[in-house]
Amino acid sequence: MTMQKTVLAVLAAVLMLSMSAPAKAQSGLFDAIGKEHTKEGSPERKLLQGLGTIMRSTQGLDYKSELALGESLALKGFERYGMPVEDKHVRRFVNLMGNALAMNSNRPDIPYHFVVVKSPLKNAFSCPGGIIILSSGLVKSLMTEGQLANVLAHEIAHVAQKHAVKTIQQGQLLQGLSQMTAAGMQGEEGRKFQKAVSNMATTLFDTGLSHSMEFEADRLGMQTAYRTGYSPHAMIEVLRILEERQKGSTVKGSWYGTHPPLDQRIAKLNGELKAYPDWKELRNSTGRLNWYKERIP
Amino acid sequence: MTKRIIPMTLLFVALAVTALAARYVWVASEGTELKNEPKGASAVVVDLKLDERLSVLDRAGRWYKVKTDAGKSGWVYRGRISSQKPAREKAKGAPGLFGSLDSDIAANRASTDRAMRGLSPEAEAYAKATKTPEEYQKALDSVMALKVTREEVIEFLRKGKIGEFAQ
Repeated sequence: MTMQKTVLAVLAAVLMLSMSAPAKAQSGLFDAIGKEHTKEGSPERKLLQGLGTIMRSTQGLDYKSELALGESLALKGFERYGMPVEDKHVRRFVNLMGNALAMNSNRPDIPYHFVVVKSPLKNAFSCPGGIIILSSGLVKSLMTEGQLANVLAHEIAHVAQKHAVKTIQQGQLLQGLSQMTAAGMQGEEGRKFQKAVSNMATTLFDTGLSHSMEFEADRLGMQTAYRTGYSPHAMIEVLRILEERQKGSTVKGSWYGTHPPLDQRIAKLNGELKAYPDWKELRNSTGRLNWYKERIP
Repeated sequence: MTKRIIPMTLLFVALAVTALAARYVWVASEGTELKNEPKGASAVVVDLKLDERLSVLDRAGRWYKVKTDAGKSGWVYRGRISSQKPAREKAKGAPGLFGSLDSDIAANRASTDRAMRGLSPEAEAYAKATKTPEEYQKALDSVMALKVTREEVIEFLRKGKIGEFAQ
């Protein structure tokens, strides 16, 4: 049998077996079959090891570990962007709105925390485990409560879909760290954890998540806003506001630098809007936002 | 002829009623309430569980009249249900959206616990290893300690006339 045929035969067998195996067993299955049926160092062995790694990378971290990563990333976020706005009314407002949206998100069974930080950059990002950080510059540029709701819903979607975690898992940074422990933070595991946080920070603050993740967050965010009772059209308005103010704005570390081009996102969202024919009847402005905006330094 | 039309009509009506009754929706939102009438301010019949199956009996605007498997009937807001059973990966070990914080007493207790506990030990170890200034840790701890209850969120929606509270 030629090498290609061997690879195909093994792959077909593995595929059939993996379809009937529980997700957690699948990565081990690829490794086991690789060891049994392929030679050390052979292309077939390497291919199967690679598949095992991919399967491992899709297995979830437990919530506690996810939150530990998120808290560590949030600390880096404060360092990079600024400290939280202290006004208690602003803090409560974003948390009430954020939780109203989270109830209707596709991950409504974890706690969420929302915080506005003092930064002129227009940015928002979400840390694993449900910590969502918005810059004061972004909040102050918005005109309606519906627009803020859509931004929060977009960020909730990133948490719900575990986008940041998936990004570092693809880089194999979390292998062996599925259940982190404080004791394990010493030594090699601690170094891996630090590297994972550092890579997430680079992704979220500078290079951005993949375009497909951003489009997915736009789509799901719109859905969550709609289900809550906010107009999904307000997300298009947010992007138009950002588009208008793009000229002369700082790109590095802002939504301009970390998200797909605004015209592409607007075009996709205009398509999505067709799923919500009654969007005009939903709430956008409640008259509440300005009072809170004025309290933000 | 008339004799034939009446049974046919009855058959169609029976089929239509069966089709409607056989249609299911699933609770897709945390904190979903079954209401006595199709409006947000109406009395609550029962609190519904996430992913609970409901039979659709009728529809009025953005409200669905439904029946639980336990036999309770009432109205549920459109945004809180899904036409497909949600494929959800349970967050193992997570305390839930509002955790045990649905009463003020529990909220106070939990907030105190949180203030005493601080950040997760792993994040604290990370902060120590990376020499993260203490002010950032204190700021994050304060963010994590702020809790809102389900009742407060409902009141926020009611005051803003949002979703089921829209007129």
